[in-house]
Amino acid sequence: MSADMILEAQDLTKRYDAHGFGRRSRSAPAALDGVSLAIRRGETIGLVGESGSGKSTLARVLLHLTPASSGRICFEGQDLATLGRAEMRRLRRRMQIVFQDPQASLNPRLRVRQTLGEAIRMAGGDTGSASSLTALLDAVGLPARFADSRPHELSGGQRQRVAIARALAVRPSFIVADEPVSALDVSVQAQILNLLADLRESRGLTYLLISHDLAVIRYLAERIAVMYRGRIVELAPAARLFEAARHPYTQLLLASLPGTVRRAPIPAVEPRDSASAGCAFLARCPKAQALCRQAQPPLAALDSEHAVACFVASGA
Amino acid sequence: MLEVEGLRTEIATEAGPLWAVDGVSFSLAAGEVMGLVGESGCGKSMTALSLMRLLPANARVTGAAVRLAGTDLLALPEAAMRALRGDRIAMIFQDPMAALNPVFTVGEQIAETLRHHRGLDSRTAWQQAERLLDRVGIAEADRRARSYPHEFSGGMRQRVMIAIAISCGPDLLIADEPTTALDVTVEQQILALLDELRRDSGTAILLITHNLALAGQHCDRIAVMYAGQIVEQGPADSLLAAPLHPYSQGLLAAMPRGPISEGRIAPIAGLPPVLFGPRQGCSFAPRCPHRFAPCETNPPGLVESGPGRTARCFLLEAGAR
Repeated sequence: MSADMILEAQDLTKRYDAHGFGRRSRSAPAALDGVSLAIRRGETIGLVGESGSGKSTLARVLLHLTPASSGRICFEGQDLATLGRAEMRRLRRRMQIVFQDPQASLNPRLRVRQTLGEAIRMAGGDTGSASSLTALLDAVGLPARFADSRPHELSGGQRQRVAIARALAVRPSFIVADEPVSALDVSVQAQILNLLADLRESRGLTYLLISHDLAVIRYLAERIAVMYRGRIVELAPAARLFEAARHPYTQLLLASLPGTVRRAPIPAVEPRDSASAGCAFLARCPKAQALCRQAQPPLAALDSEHAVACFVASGA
Repeated sequence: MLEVEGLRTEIATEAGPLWAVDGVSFSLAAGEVMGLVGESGCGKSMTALSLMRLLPANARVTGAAVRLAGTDLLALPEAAMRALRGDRIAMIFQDPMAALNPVFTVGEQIAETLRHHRGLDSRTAWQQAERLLDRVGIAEADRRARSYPHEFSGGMRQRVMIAIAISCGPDLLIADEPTTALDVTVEQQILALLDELRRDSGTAILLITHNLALAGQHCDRIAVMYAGQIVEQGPADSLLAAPLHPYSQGLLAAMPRGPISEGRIAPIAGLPPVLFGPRQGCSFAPRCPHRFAPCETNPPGLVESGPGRTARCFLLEAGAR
């Protein structure tokens, strides 16, 4: 594992068993299908894709919240599979997650002071210390008077700040933000995005930012990974992706951004449910060729920075 | 086609009557799409429900005239209003799964509307339902009409809702966040479909959304709502190019449009107010970077400024003078 990588995932696969009615269980399509991703220390990598594309599953598997069906994850040089319980607990402090809905991820009965105190204790800090609590609240832009509030007394934006403060309390190096602003109004969304940017600067954090909103991703991410049906179909520096996306699905996503001039109408093809040997995007792809029906295209490097999983784009 | 004048809606709460909609006026021509844009709690959905007369039990319209092609909707007896709903005015919602009945096939649900409002026999209604499904872009409509809602994806369910909504060729379609629950690529398909409808059948559409950029793309005119009032109204292009009201300006400045290295987005400080009774000054004043003395004492009126454009702001009055 190269030194500048904070996390490296190789060939991750995750299957959930789908039990139908009756005795027979169907084999469900893999939620993650051979995903490899290396995240550099200090970067913000954006993960986009439609619902069900595997974004959140990837996040959970990377943090070892859900075990992968197969594959290997190295975090800060340690293979997660080889760690014992105690070591895993220690390592877990280095990686945190912020969810979409702070209402659901905060305990409604605990005051902010208790929620954060618990996290500070986890980090081996002094829970009674008012200064560490105030410092945390200050870091996320909340006045100290909120320490005695319960979640229902806070606005959506304030709750998300508390959730971020809780993640910061254990002094992580890597934070997964899973749709952190999707439940918030535009004006509040801007506050949280700027807060994430400031914390990244002041604490040298590495982010995996998950969003269905490309505008949010473009605002913060240096590199962008596009997922479709459990696979990464394109990976590129953010500017490159916006200027010269190569995968037809990425191009479709970009064309769907409000404010873009549409060159071609978006085909109204509904996803098919039958699994086949070919490319998962086949049914919706305007550029499909014979080869695309026969095999699933691998994620292939176009150059050192840009990779795409498409036979047509990579000129195979 | 639709004229709304001084719509006012109150919600009874423990803390007293909450002024959810406070003097909303606008008009909508046949074939026109108007975007009603604002953040959660600004009163945009309550405006729509007031027009449909589908308000929750604790809410009531306290003053207004709402005319649809000359008929005063608020004065109609309930039975007449019921006949109008689904026929002359239709509405689609954010979550089509909640609006569709899970135990009937989608074909039956479209046919039901036609039997009820048009008095068609079952066979004709069913054939018409198949044609409508085809019309909203569902392939193999004859087979799909026999499917249940759970067999459809979110985008297809919203297409079914649209098929039901347009089944009687309504004068007005109210679409309340119709694509918020959908993926971006599907969102564009649904909006393109709505666009096609108004072009082909001249249906007026009121598109309610929190997304100003999306409204700019799909609407002829935009009305921005804040704290129960329309604070700015104008043609979509000119409003987005040069918003007059500080709140519209703030909304635009808060939307990410490029990487942070090319400029930080600017949040709007503070929170929108909840209105229990008449307002003292401008409701946006506490969050407004341009506020000055008059804003604190009197609520600003609508000021005309440019072709088809109005905004509720003292800065414009000062400028106009």
